[in-house]
Amino acid sequence: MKIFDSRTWYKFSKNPLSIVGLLIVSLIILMAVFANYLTPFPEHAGPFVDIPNKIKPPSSTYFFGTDKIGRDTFSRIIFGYRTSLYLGVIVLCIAVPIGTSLGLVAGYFGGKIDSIIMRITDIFLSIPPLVLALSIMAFLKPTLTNAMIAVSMMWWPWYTRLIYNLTRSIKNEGFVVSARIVGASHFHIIFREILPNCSASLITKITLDMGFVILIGSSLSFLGLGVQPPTPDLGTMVSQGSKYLPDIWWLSVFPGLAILIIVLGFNLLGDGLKDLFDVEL
Amino acid sequence: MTILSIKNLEVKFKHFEGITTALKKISLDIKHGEKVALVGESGSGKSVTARMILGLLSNSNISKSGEIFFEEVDLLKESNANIKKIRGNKISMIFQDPVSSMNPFFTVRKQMQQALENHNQTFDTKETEEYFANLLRDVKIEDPARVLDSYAFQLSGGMAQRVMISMAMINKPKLILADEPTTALDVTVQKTVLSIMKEVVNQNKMSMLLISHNLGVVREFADRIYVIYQGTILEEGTTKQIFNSPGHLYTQTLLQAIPKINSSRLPDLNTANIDYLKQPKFTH
Amino acid sequence: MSEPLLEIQNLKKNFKVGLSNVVAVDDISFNIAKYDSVSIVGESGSGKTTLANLILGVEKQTSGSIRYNGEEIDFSNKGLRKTIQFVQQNPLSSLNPKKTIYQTLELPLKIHNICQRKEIKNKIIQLLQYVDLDESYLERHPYSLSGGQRQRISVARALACEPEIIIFDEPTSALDVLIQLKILNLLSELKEKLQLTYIFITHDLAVVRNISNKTIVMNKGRIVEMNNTQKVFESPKEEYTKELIRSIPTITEEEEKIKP
Repeated sequence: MKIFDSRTWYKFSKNPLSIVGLLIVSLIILMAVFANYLTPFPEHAGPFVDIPNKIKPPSSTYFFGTDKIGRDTFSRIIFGYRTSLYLGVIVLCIAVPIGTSLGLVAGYFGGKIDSIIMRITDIFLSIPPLVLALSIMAFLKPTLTNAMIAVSMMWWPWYTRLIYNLTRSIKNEGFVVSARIVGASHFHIIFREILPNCSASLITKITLDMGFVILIGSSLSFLGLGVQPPTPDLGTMVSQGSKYLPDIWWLSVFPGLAILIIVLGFNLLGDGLKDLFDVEL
Repeated sequence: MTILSIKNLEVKFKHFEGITTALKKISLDIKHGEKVALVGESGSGKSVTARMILGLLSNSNISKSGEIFFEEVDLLKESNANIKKIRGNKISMIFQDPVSSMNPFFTVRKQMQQALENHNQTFDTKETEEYFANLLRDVKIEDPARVLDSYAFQLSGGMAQRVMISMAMINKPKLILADEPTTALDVTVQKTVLSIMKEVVNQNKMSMLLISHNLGVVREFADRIYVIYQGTILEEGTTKQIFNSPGHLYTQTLLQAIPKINSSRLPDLNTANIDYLKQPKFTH
Repeated sequence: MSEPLLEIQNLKKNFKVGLSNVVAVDDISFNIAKYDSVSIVGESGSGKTTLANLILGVEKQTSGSIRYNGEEIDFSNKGLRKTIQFVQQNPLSSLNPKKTIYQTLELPLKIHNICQRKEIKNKIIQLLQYVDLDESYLERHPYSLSGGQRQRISVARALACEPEIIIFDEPTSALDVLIQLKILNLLSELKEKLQLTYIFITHDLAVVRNISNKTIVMNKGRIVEMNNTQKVFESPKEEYTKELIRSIPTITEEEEKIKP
């Protein structure tokens, strides 16, 4: 089931901002994956101390300066991107299948199943996202894994709602009725007829969400609830650096900008996809 | 006295796979008080023609050449502002699906008021109420007050299309374009709406361009017919000429291919790939 | 006189719309014999579409019976799905845009075990041949096909189940005149070749006249008139039927003359 062919590329490329988004995201992913080779000081991402070089402002050696124990901010940001992307991917890998399956089942079968699933979804949706994540984290030890679980728990309902609405409209389409008349099983209809026709909306939403998940994840680690040092994380870096503002500005500003850029990249890319596929989310 | 004169209109669309020529230098005339039909199948370019007259196609991917003269003015060279003054005023349009042509949030009265306002006619409320009611009565709507209070979804297809016809008449246009006005209607309703349209147009001495793929509908309604195929006009003549002695192979084939109610078998026709464009335009 | 293939008796279907009750199908009874080509005509709101949905099991009747070969139809028996098939009105939405033609045609073959796994591709090619399309269509998607081509694929899909009865809902209304003729001729040939029984749901009376041997006229959920097609057109009994025939936009003088 091809989604991207030359026709879609043509349409996509007509919007320059989408290309910008695509470039930003691709570049960041590339840098994060190959961080070990691309950063000037990969070892600074781990336990590393170099007191003589501490708190140096941005220079040609240390592009974004060093922190209070001499670690290169630039390299740590690139590794921080790794953590952010990892968080985003894992969270969505949990939230999307759960949310999507629930939405498909509720939308397709209707009746009591619909009511139960959607009321639970509504309850989750009515709690402010960050509050929910924080409440969950209150019961768990602050680790990356637990942060991921907390964020997933607040994320799946959005997919349930989206897929529920799509399923309800798609299930009345001619080809779904035809499949029923031909004798297809419920499983086939849900996963082979309806779900593939949700792909455009799913891909678009996932792309847009990546940015937001990363933002939420960074917020959690900013509050000290996510990733623990010495693992480099953008939110943590902003938090720790904020104590030294405004003199030692490079410790917070660059990680902050890094968060902005990655979120912007995913947003632009997602918006481009939204226009391309012409979906309503 | 020609009211609309299209001369050598060529329209090309640019898209991913290249360029498609939707209209290949077509020419068409409508005189005062004439009912002209543009008949063709899908992809013939008939709807594009109507939309070009009214400037309803966005300009980004279109290249056009030729002229569309309306009352001595070339519509293709007019500014958007001037076209807006003509559209809905001197030239109005009736679309295929009446219910979706109307704003679902407005009552019929409000839509009619908007049509008046758009062409900055200041009006007295009581007078316009009477005017609207009369327009509705002209299309055989018996309780205009109720209909004026209604929303689009509350009207049946036939009723809605009659409302559209009366809305098209509000600013006393010189020319009405009707794009498949009865295709979405039931067959008995279609008959009624067609005869109403005919009466209204004749009484008000207006001109009409009817666009349709249905030859039967056209036969009941039009004075003259243009047959269009893949962007080219292949035949032109009076209704009688076209139906009684069609000159072009394409027209003949179309007429033969339509199932007839005085036969219990499908028309026997070999429609294997014939290039209808090889034969030049037939003018009666 | 052989047993009717399909027997409809006192069929009723009500819908709840808001607070009121809408009677879509109001006490309908008729029979369809094997190899019949029956047209059910009516305008919007006549109930003809609901009737088709009831026969296909898409809706459940409020009361009354639908019998196939003497037995009450029950679609939990998958075999019945094989026997009664459907071709829809709108060629655009009746095919899954995300599936290739191969995938669309493969589905019924797999569900009803029409042939062995390794035979599937050949069977699909044969189905395409039935509707005058060649192998090159296998990997294509619906968006790249014309309305006529899509409609042919819908017909091929219906044939894949090796059905006895095919119900067509306005099969050619969305098609151009020349394509319509091709498709109607094709359906006629297939009926002969594959020994099928057809039920057409349509509002196009001229088509009805040419392709069916029996016509049922419906209005507001009831059967107004039912007879051999020729008799319905040449000597219609009911005023509604006469009104319908008079409204047909005919194109020849000869046709005008035979209108009631």
